[in-house]
Amino acid sequence: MNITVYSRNRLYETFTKWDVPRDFADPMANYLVYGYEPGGFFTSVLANDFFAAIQSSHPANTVEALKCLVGWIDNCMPPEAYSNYNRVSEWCRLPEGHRRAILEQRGLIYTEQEEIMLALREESTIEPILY
Amino acid sequence: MMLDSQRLITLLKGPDWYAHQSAKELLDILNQGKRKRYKSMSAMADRHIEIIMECFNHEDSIRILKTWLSTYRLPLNPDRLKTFEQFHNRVGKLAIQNAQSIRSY
Repeated sequence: MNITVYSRNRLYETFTKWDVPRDFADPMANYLVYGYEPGGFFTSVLANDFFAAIQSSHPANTVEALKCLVGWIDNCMPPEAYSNYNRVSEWCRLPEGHRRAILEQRGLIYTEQEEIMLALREESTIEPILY
Repeated sequence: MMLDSQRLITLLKGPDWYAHQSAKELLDILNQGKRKRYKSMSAMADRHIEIIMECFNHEDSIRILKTWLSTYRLPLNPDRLKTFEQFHNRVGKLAIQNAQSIRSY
C-alpha cells in the first residue's frame, strides 16, 4: 500500500499525541501500513504476551515508553491488528485494500480521494517530531 | 453560468482555457451568497468533471483539477462530488504519484 506524506504525517500525529518514541513508532507504522512483521518484542506486545515481551525486550526500552505505546495501541490501533498472535499474523497477511480500508475507517490515514485533493491543492504538511 | 454554446467554444479553445473558465464559473456560484451555494458549486463541478473526463486526456484532466484547487483554491469536497469516484478510479494513481510534477494551467 502506498500512502502519501499527508497520510503518513496523520498517522505519526497519533504517535506524537501519545509521546510514543520513534524507535517504537516506526515498526508500528510499518506493521499497520505495509503489514511488515514487527519483530519478536513488538509481536509479543501486540499479542498481549507479557512474558515473551519482557524476554525479548531491548535493554534500552523504558517503562515510560512502553506505557505510551500501550496507550496508543489501546486508543488508536484497529482492534483487528492486536490482542493475540493470530490477529497479528492475520494482519500481516491481509490484502492491501483491506488494510487500507480499516486504517481509513479508524481515521489513521486519509482516504485516497482526500489524498488526491490534498496533493493537488499542494497543501502544506508538517512532519510530526518524535523524540 | 455558461451557455452550452459558450461551453463548446471554451472546450475548443483547449484544456488551459477550459480550466480557467470553469474555475471562474465555479467561483461565481460560490460568491453568490446563497445558502446552498456549496451544493450548487458541487453540482456544477460534477458537470465539469464529466465533461473533462470525456474530452481531455488523463494529464489534462489532472491539470484542470489542480488549477481549480491550487490556483483558485476552490473548496471542493470529494464526498460531495458524485463523479469524483470515477475520476479517482481513472486517474487517481497518476494524480497521487505525480502531484508535485504536474503543474496547474
